[in-house]
Amino acid sequence: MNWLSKLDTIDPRWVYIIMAVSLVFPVLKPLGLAITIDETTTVPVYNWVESLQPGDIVVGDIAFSGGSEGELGPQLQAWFRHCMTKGVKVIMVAQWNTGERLGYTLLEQTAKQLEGEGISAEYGVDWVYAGYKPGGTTLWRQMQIDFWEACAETDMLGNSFQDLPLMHRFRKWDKESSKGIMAFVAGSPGLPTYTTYFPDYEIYVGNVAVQVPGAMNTLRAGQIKGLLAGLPGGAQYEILLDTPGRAVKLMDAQSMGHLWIMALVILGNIGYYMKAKSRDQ
Amino acid sequence: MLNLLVLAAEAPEVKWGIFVPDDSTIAGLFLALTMGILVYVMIQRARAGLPIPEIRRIAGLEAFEEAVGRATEMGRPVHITTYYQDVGDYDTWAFWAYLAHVAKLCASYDTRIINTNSEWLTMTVNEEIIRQAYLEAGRPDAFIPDDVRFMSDWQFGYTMGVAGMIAREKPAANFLVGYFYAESLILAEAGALVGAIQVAATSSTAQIPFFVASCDYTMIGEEFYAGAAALSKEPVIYGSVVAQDITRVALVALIIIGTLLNTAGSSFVIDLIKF
Amino acid sequence: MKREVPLVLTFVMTLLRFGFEMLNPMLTYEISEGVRLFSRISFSVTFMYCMGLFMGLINLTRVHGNTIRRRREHWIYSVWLLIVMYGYAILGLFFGGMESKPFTWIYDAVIVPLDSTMFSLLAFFIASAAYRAFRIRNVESVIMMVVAFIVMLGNVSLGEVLWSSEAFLGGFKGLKDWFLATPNAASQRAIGIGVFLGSYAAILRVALGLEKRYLGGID
Repeated sequence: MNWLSKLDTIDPRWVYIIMAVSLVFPVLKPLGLAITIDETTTVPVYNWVESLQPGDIVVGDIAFSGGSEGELGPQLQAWFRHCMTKGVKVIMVAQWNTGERLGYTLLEQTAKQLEGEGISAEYGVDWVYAGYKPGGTTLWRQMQIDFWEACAETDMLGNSFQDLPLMHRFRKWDKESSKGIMAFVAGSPGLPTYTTYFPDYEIYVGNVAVQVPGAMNTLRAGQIKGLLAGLPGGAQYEILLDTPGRAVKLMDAQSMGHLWIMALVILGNIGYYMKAKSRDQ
Repeated sequence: MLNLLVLAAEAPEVKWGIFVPDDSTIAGLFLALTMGILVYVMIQRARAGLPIPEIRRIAGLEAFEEAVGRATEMGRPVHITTYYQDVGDYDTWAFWAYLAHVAKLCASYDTRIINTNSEWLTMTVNEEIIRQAYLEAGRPDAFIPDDVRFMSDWQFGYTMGVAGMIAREKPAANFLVGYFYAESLILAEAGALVGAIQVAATSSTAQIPFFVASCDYTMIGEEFYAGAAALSKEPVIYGSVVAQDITRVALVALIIIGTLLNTAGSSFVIDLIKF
Repeated sequence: MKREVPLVLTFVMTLLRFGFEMLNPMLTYEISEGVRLFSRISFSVTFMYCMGLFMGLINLTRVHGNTIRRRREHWIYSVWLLIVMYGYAILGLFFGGMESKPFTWIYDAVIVPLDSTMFSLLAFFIASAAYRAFRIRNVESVIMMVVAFIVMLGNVSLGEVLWSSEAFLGGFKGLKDWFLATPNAASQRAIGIGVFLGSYAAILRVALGLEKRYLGGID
């Protein structure tokens, strides 16, 4: 039984190697495990976009950077695809300067795909990327009063708002001009900007998995209406849109990673028990 | 904060003209003023030597001295960081109480203290605090300015820098104090791998599980702020903690009354909070 | 004087900020046509932060310059750090700006993958941390482990295979949803209220000049 007690102190390098294999293997050879749609978190986001009329404006926020792109990128792309398909206009802002360029790249990629499929996703007409504007949360307050002034009347690419037809319908960020907010958040600044400054708006959130427990109370209280939770949230949205993509593909890897963690916990406890037993003897 | 007390509900239509027409503006003003008065009263009581309740012992606080002591015995440095909180952030103000405490301990034990930063303005204040601690300990020459380091304002640039520093310098004590995000576990595991005693104090609820799993001591939620006040050991600072606890009791009462009234069909308390 | 001026400034700025948050006439006050006081102040804060960046730059140059000069261990990495830092800044400032091809290429092809790589380390560290932490030492740790297993299985497809959401109690997913939406949400909110009260007391201490460590002192 001596070898069993060694399970109490497995070398971290083995832990890391097996974790790497558990994550990489299902990406190369998908297992095709079923994905269940979450009625309380994902479906409200989908239904909200479905309920919007063509021409309605919604505001999206990029509050993440490369680190959380794996989880939030697929969510953003699926949601943006849904809006464009429905003819809903999207104005994007970015609370994180480090994710500004990344957000644009992801949206541009999806817009090109949509154009290829014959769905209109023209920049300036169907969507605008105002980008990151320094000034923190006080600037978000200013955007409510005068969006154009707060953004210095330019988008991320340096285009004047005057030259972007969509922006002429959005001088002020209020409940009349926008039909809701979709914030993709990975930390701070993030969701509290909206629950504090936009408490009576329709707020929806795309969140990294680690933040989901922290956001659940806002969902329960009705302060946010829907929540895309990490990679499963993105995968479920892709399935709802009937366009399975990157998130669906990565879900198997997540399952296997979880399985290894559970195995480790069990092995660690066997080792702990055996060690304690041999010590008692 | 008042939006933490109620479910999303229709706010009363009527607002006082001069106030910003957002939910809870006036209720928020009332709460702010009430708490301001309470803090003032408690501080006056403390100054006059009248009895005010003691702050309970917080287990993690003693760990700071224990960890610095161990680092001294091992001849290894101490590391303390708050990640990315700017000078205007209340988490930074609380962090400075811990930094001052650790810096004073390090200066008096003649132990090297390394402080890593992701925010440049906070870093300059940190440097001043540590310099002052060494000055007061009578060892101004022992202060090493290069040990107060700016890593990167990029989350994972900073994380990489700190994890690398921990692996190279092998601090015997690792203090993670402030509001953390995804870097929390990486920093704590880097510390665990070099065998450092780790103390975390955070108000970030999302990171509490990671710190609990990786650190020897974790101070959660407002223990972090109360601990900062306790470190000051000034009655005036104690006064503010007592005031916040009285407000907490009042808020709990408000929640219970609101729940009962709402169950009975009255939205009086909700309207009050939303006003 | 050196200490009094910042204390007075802090108090005045706190009042000003308070006013902007609460009072509509202050929030919309225009110093000249179309120019709001609030927007000017928020721009000045932005400007101050941008200037603060230079302090970070100076510190990094000083720390790593000293490492190179004294040939400390791993000094070659300090050389690389300074080349990358100044090189990327010069590229953005003088060669086509932030929208230029080389600048955006470095962002897309180097910074984003590096960022993702660091974030993905969490997957490995969570495994080693869970392995160390989840030991059955007492009743509480058993409860913690059982709940962790349910939430993990409820989050992934594997849980659906093992115990379907169509089955009794909604399977792992149903239990996970309950844990997240009820005990978790309640405790998160309770901690949130406590954090707010603690932070508000901290704000009052600084605004009233009771806590002065931001001036660099230790008391």
